[in-house]
Amino acid sequence: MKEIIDIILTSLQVSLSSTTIAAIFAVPLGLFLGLSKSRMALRLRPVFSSLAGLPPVLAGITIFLLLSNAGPLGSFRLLYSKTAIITAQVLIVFPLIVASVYPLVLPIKAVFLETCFGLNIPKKQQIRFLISELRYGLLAAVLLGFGRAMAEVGAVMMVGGNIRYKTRVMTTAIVLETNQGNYSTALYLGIALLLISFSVNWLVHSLFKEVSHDPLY
Amino acid sequence: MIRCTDLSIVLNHKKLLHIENITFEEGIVHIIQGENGCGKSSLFRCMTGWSSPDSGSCVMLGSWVYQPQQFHLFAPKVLDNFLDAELAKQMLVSLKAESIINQSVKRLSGGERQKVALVRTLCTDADVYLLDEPTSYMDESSRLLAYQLIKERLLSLGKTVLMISHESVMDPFDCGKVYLFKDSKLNIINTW
Repeated sequence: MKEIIDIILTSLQVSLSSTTIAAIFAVPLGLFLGLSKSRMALRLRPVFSSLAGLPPVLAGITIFLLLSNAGPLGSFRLLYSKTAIITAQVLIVFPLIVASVYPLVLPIKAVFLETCFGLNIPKKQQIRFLISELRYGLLAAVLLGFGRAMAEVGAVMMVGGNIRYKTRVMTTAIVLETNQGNYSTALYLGIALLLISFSVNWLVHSLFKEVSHDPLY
Repeated sequence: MIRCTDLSIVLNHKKLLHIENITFEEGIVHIIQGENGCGKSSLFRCMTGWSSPDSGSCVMLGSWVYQPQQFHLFAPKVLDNFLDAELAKQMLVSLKAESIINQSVKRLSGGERQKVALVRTLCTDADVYLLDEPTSYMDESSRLLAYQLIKERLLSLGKTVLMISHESVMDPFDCGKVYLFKDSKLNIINTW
């Protein structure tokens, strides 16, 4: 039981950390890509949409190669650590949040910007208003990222190494316990993962329902 | 004072409007009328600098506020749209709409949304007010109250008002000019 709790806590710790780090950069970038009229922004939008659907194992191998002894960051000895897992998850979650944020801006962009321009609202205040307008959608995008981080197996296994009491998370533990024939432990972990996933999904759905009921969106 | 010189706007390779030389005097209401799509809103956008004309220029002296035809109300509450809630409340009382001040913006009707937008614009201090169809969704009595509010809050203080409207709105105002867009040109059709 102690081990299961440790695994659940490790999962929550790495997923919350990676989602927070990714969100800090991805939300402003998503807002920028939605608001900007520049060619670069127009080109970057489909890039992030594509990256959002990228196989996570690619993120895993990228981080593995960077952190392995022969890699450029090998001297930091970060491979098979929680930091390595968090880094891989950031790489997976970051484009997903960007790709979920910029479409929120597009439907209100023209009218919102013209209104702010007409009222001579300073840029800083415009951003504050925009974040307030899109708060449900932004939160839903971040929760979507968290759900993805929690459910990740391949990349986490590759860079975390599934080390007991260190880097073992729910998904990798389920794979291990199933392979070892410990179906009851795997099932307990599966139920815990399912409950967390359901909770996150329920929250995302309720928030999106709130957004879709709002004619401003 | 607003002066437009040799102003041309081209849309889809067709000349939408051409204004050779026109000056909008200070302290009165200028009502601009014309068919749909004749370039009234485009003129306002060029005046404020939101969009650039294809040729010519528009010079506006003093500060200005512009209420576009399609505007955005800041969510979630009506109150979130005003910096000076007390002043806004007074104006909403004048429009007989004080009950909506604590409402969610998504629950407002088209006319109520316009009342909030108009009050928000009038709460902002400026020399020139550009109002693009500010009362088009309001009922007749609300419209008259809105004109009365514009008169009291702006014209009586010497502010300049440029208003796009499809209705005949001369009566509530003491003096002003009515312009009509026809054949890409802007002509004065009434002065009082």
